This record gives sequence, C-alpha cells and structure tokens, in this order.
Amino acid sequence: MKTLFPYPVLSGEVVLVADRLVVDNIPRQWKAISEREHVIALHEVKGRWKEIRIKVSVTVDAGELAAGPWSAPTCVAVVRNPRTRIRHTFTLAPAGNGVWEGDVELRRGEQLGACEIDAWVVADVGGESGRLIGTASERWRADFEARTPTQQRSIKMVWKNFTDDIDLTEFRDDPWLLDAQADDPVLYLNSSVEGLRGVLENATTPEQKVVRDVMAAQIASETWASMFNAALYASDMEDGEVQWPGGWHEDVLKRMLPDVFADRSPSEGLAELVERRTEGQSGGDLQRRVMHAATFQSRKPKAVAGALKSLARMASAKESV
Amino acid sequence: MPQDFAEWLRGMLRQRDMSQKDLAGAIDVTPAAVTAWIRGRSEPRYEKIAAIAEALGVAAEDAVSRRQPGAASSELSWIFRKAPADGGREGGNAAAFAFAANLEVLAREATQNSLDERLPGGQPVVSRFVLHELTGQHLEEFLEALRWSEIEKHLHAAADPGQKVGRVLLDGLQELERTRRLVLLRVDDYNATGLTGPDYDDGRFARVVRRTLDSGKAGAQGGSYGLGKAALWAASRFGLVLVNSTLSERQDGRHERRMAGRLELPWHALGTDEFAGPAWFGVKDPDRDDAARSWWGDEETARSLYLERDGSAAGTSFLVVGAYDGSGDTEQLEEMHERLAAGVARNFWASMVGGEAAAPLLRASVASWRNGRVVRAEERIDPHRHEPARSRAVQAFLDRRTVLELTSREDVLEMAVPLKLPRLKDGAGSDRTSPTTHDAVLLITPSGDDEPAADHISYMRATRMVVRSKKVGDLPLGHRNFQAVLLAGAATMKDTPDVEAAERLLRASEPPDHNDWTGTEDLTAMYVRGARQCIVNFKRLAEQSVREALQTQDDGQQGDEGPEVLKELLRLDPPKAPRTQGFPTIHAIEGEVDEHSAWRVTVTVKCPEREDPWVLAPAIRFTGRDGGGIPVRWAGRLVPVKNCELTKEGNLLFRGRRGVFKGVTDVASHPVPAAMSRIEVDVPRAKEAKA
Repeated sequence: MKTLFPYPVLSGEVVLVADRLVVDNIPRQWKAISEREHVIALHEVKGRWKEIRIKVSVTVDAGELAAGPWSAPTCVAVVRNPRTRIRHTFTLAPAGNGVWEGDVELRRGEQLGACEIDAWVVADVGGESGRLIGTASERWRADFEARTPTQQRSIKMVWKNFTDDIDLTEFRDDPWLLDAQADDPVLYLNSSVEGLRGVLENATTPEQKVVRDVMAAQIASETWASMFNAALYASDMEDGEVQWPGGWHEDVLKRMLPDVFADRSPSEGLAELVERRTEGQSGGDLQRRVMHAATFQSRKPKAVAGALKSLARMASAKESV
Repeated sequence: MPQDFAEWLRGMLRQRDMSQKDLAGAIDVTPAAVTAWIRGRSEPRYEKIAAIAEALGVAAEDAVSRRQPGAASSELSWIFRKAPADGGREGGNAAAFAFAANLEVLAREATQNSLDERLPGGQPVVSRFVLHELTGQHLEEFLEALRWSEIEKHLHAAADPGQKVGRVLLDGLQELERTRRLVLLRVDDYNATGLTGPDYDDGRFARVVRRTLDSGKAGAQGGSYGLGKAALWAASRFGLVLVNSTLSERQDGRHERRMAGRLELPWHALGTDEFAGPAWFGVKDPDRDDAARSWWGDEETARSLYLERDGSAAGTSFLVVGAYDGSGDTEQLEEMHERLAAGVARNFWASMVGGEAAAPLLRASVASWRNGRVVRAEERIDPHRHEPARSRAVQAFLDRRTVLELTSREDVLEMAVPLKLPRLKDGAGSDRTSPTTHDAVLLITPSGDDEPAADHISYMRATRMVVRSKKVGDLPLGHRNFQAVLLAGAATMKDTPDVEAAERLLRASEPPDHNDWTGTEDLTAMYVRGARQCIVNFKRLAEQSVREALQTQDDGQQGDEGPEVLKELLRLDPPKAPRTQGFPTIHAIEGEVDEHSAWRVTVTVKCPEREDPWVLAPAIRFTGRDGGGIPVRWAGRLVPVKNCELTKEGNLLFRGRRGVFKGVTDVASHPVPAAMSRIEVDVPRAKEAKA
C-alpha cells in the first residue's frame, strides 16, 4: 500500500537488523536469528525465563538523513504482539553514520505466539516535532513457536487418542478434527484410528502413498474451509471500512481471499463477504467460492490426478504379471 | 663470502680481455709479480691494488673488497640465443601458456612468489604494484635506455600472425605504433630474499632469469612448479621483463642493484641468421659465447629503466614492459589498477591480516602513474575493507579471541577438523613416531547479508593464500549468512611435528594452479594409496562441521509436529505476492496539502486487462500507526486526467491499463488537520445501479 505524507520522508531503505539474543542475561546462539528471513526463533526459550533482550540496529542512508529538511532525528524500535495487544517502544542510541543501536525487551507474560519488531525513524519536520519519516523496510518476527528461524510456518497439529481425551471423546470415531476456537487453530489427528499415523507419516508401498496423498489433501481442504469460516466470523465492518481480524484469522484470509475473488483486492473481497454475511444471504455462492479456494490451498487437483495415475499404473502392472 | 684476490683478478683480466703482461706493464711491476698474485702466492699492497683498479678501469673499492665492478650503461646490450643446429623451432615459452594471462593471475602468482621468498624475522613482505603509463618524451627516453632499437627488428621478425605468441606480439607492436603509449607494470617486493646466487648454475637468480619450469622451492612454499614467474612474462605484450634485485646475501661482493632483462620470443630469423627466441639484457659475458650476465647497475641506469628501488631492504623489482590484461577486458590504467587490487585482495586477504601478537605476513599496495606523475596515489590494500567477515575471523584467531559458541555478529567460532596423514612411500620419514593426524582450524563467523560470496569456505595453509573458496552445500533452512576459513598446516600457528607433515601433504595435493587440494600426480608419487581419500575426507569433514555448527537444535520432537505431508499443505505464512494481480491497484500517488488544508492528490491506477471497463469508486483515508484508517470524503467530483471518465454517479470508468485522476479532500470530513495525517488511496469497485 502506498502512503502519502504531508511532509518529506526518507526515500532510502530503513534496514532493521537483529544482532544478538540474550535470555535472562545469557547470550543465545546466533543461529536462532535469520537475517534473510527476518525471523528470531524462540522455541528453545521455554520454562522460567523472565526477559529476552534482542540487540537491534537500524541503518538509514546517512547522506540522505543529513541532507533532508528534518532535524533532530531519533529512532525507536517498536514491538507489537497481535495476540496480547501489547505495544512497546524502545529508544535506540545513535551510533553515527546513519546507524542506531539498542536493546528490545520482551517480558514474560506480555508475549504469546509471536511478536513483530518494527523500527520508526522520527524527526522534527517543518517545525513540527515527532514526525515519522521512515519505518523498517522489512519487519522482524520473534516467534516463540519457531524451532528454526524461517517465515514458513504451518498450523499446529497434534496426535491425540480421542477416546482418552475428555474434550474429544465425543468425536472418538472421527479420524481428524479442527479446533478453530482456540487462540490458535489446532488440527487434532486421532491416534486411536488404527493405521492412520502409519499411512500419514510412514507410507511405504505405492498403495499407501496413494491413500496418504488423497487423505492429506482431504484433511487440508476441510481444514482450510473451516478456518476460513471461522476467520470470516471474526471479521467486521466499522464505518463502512472492513476490520481485519488479525492473528491467524487474518493469515488465513490473506492466503485464501485471492482465490475466493480473483478480481478484487483482499480488503475489497473481505468487505464484500462481511456485507453478505450481515445481510443474511444464503451463502450458496460464497460456499462455492470457499470450497474452490480450499481446494486450491490443499492442492487437491494435483493429489487426485496423481492418485488416479498411480491407480492406472498399478492396474497395468498387475495385468502384465 | 668475498672471493680471494687471486680469483677476483683472474676474473677481471678475463672480463677486460687483458693479459698478465699488459697489466704488469700498466702498473709497472714484473710479470712474475702478477703471476704470483694470480696464483694466490702473494697479495699486492694497498697502493698497488689502487693502481690495478685504475688499470682495469674499475673503482678502487671494487678491488679492495674484491667485488664485481658496476657496469656502465654503455656496456649493456641484448644478446639473442642462436637457433639450435638441429633446426628445431620453439613457438614460445611453454610455461607462459599455462596461464590465462590476466592481471589477476599475475597479481596472484607474483604475490605468491614474494610470500615464498619472505625473509625470516617476522617482518611482513611488502608487495607493491606500480602501473606507469608512458607517452611522448618519457616513452622515447625509456625506449632508448632499454635499447629498443636492438630488439625491435627481432620483435617484428617474430610477430608471426600464424602463432599465438606471434599474434600477441603483432598486436602489441601495432598498438605501440598507433598510440605511442606503453604501460609498465612494476612488481616490487621488500623483506624478501632477492635474486641471490650465481649468474648460471643454481640459485634464485638463475631459476628466475635463466630457466623455465624450475622452482627449486621447498617446504611450505607454494610454487612447486616454477610457473609463477612465467605469469610475469605472460603479462607483457612483448614477453619482456627487466629485474632489479637487492640481495639478502652478497653475490660477488655486492648486493645492491643486480639487474638483468629477459625477452621471451619464439623462433625467428633475421635474413640468414636464425634465433632460438629468448634474449638476455646485460653485460656480454667474455667467458661464454652469446651470453649476457646480470650487471651491477648504478642509480642513473636503474632510474632510466624505471627500476630504482626505495631504500635498501632486500627484495626484487620486476618491470613488465608493455603490461596488458590478456583477457582483453581491461585497457585503461584505472581499470588495470582496480584489477590488480582486486586480484591481491581476493587471494591474499588472509595473509594481510595481522593481530595484536602476530604481524601480517604481507602488506600490499597498488599505485598508478602517468609520465612521472601520480594518477592514483599508492593505495594500501586493506583486507578488512575487501573481506570484512573473513578478515575478522582470521584476526580473531591470531588474537586468540575465538569462541566455542556463536552469540553475536562479531563472534568467531573455532573448531578442529582432523586431517589424517597418510604414510610416505619408500619408508621416508615413516617411522613409528611420525604423526598420523593433524588438527586443522576451522573458523566460522556471521557475515553481512550484502556480502557478495556468502556461505563460502576458504582453504589455506602456511602463507594464508586462498587456495580455494567454495560455497558450502546442503545448508540448513533459515541459517544465517556466514564465512568459514579452514587454516591447515603452518597456518594453524602450532609447532608440532604434524604441522610440517600436513604442509607437505597439502602442498603435494595442490595442482599447478594451486587452486585446490585434490588428487595430483605428486600425491600419488609421494604417498601410499589412500592419500587422495584422506584429502577428500578432510574437505568433506570441514563442510560437515560447518553444517553442524549452523544446524538448529532438534529436540527430538519432530514426530509431534504432525505429518510432513500435511505441513506443506497447511502453511500459514503469507503467500508471495503474485507479480500481476487480478484487480485494479494503485500504481502511484502524488500530492500535497494545499493552502486550505486539503489534500490534493494525483493518482495513477493500474488496471488488469479485460473487455469490460472497470468502474471504480476511489476512496481516500487517513491512516493510523498500525494500519487501518479513517475514511475522508472527496470535495466535489473527481477529475479524470487520463484513460478514465466520470460516470453519472460520480465514479470513475477506466479504459486501458493505466489511468490517472485527480482529487481534493473535503476538509470538513478530516478527523485531524491534514498536516497531521498521512493518506492512502484505494480503488474498490463501484456499486452502481445497473442502468
């Protein structure tokens, strides 16, 4: 989205970099930080930690900063956690040559899931103080659930014996179930269904692989469809503007809306859906579109075509014996 | 070791073509007295020595210290080797063909040679490259000092366009005639041995100036094939190189300004005289047919040949006459300068790194001149500028500041990588006590995202020249960029017996270009079977160690994360934005706040192609810090500028792929003054009642 300011802003990149991770004063390994992915993996930070400090630096074009029509530039790092709705800013110290450095602190009890780290460069412009003249070109994510520092993440999956679980025993014969109520969607896989885990995780024969691929596509498309519906109910309109739900709801919508409405921007598409929902339309057209998007996400066409091809191959192999 | 007087006098009489009787007459002694001196039965007194010197036309000092007299520039000439009687014809120096003749290779080979000839004592070798472009008067004077007129006809005769060497020569001659411009490249080293030893026989001088494909190097040195020096000749359009050396050990009683020149031509004929090709520049040797000796020059001659050295530190200066970059990429002085600097930096950054306790092995610089004036001042090549991460790694190692676990960007991780040492053949040094493994040092340090060759490992040994730099394969997902350095042999700075054995093994495993550790003929000849495998395993283990160091913890709970097949299908991370979008988007917004405190904007909209026009209801809003925003109204109607028109309901109908419109906001709808806002514009589809 292109934003226009009523005063000049930095045109060059504002580069935010995480340099060092310290948990309760003990430095952690640098490989938890990925500069390429802009992710800090905090999965191993568990148990009784109190505070995490992340040393960050922000670099802007020193020449542009010096030459621009602004004065007294400062820089803050901003930590936002969409789940806990916490936002903190940390003033960074100038290190000269267009660089600021400092620590960002994450406190236990304020963080859940993942938080986002941004950088804002603020200066006096035209006699007005505190004007934003630049934000980080790429934000960072400090992810408490990531084992490796990559942007790539999947929804949580848990193997459970449904018969033994108080909450799940009601669904004990279901091979899988999506719980979209929690803060995070969790896909429960029923380990009491004999052979399910074997096929999904250790398929060896061609037959097992065919079943695995088709089943995986099926699980995925059901999961996407129900996540989409949950996300849609979490969205709202205010003053004619669509309100994105944030969190995983937003992630799901962002992934699927382009397939739900190919010729609309995601926010326009979402506005349309929320409107239809509040107007109480039957939703026939909507369900058709959601199914299409879920099919696409789960790569079902490929799985089905592949399975049919394998079947034909197996059949002809049998004939030739 | 000064010679005894008898030997000196014998040599001088021969050189001056003077009989004992003539000498006796000239200094008024009996021939018997001269004979006694010559036989070493007696030595003349001091006054007689001065007289002898005068008669021989040398300085008294030469006679007293029994040294070779300096040669006047008038004594110098070019002497060409006659073609062999068997009619064989050489097409040029074979060693020179082993190279891709470009300046980077020259920088690498010349610096490698300098490092190999480093004098003991901890002083870094100083290696200096000076480019000097000559035109006009400067060129004429240089060519005269070089006796160009003596070799020009040979060059023309040898410039046979049918041969590779001939084509280069012809091109060089034509270039010189057309432009009257000549580039000299001087390669100096200081704190090195210099070209010691006799003129013929064995010694550094003879190896460099007389022979091809002979290095006589031993131990830790790199140039085991003697190819390095050929790179100098290969860098000259004319195959012409002059030398001036300050010797670390006296030769013939002298050590300063030992000068010589060598020209590498293919077989050629002048009239009925046939020449083998090579020629030497120096003083005609009275003892040998058609041979020129090196001469002990004076300052003026050295200066006229652009060979005068700074100070008295030992070392050698090579002058490549008609220097060029064989790749044809670089013609201009500035580019040649850059190329040389890059060549040295790329291969020797580690040699140039010093620590608190250990001085660097090498200091290198490049300078450019034109007709006696500086074009680019001497620029010391700073390894930390060219290779920041790698240099930091080596420096931390030298300063013993390496760590066992990386926690910050500046840290350098140190690990040991064992190299199994195979036994030598024929039992040489293979007693029971000889070491069986050598622990090489592996350094890993984070590097910046913008470093061009990230995730590489660089191999090196004694001189810390980069033998090879390769990308480490199969790296774990999401790892941080790094640089790794593998220091083996003497580069580990240890002095245990395995170091020497490792040096010998790795040296044997370097091919002629010294650009890898691999199976070579030397390796097969010197070691028992399996030596090659030891080298291969060593390199593999080094890369594996890098991968392990980068691997994130795996707490054995992989199974709890759900089936792999589903993970890919249930990814939640934001999808990559497609390059083309199926809906209209904002291409650009320009605008400002006007005197009424309203936003005036000009918006360019990009529309995907389709048959029906797009009817859009542009919306403008003030955005907040965390996204979202408050819509504001347009004041009056929007103004179509390009490829769009107003509909009855005040929306815009776009035709074509790009449309432009203007708009002004309604100040009454502003939630805050415009000066305090920032804005975004959206182009949702208009909901118009069907007409």
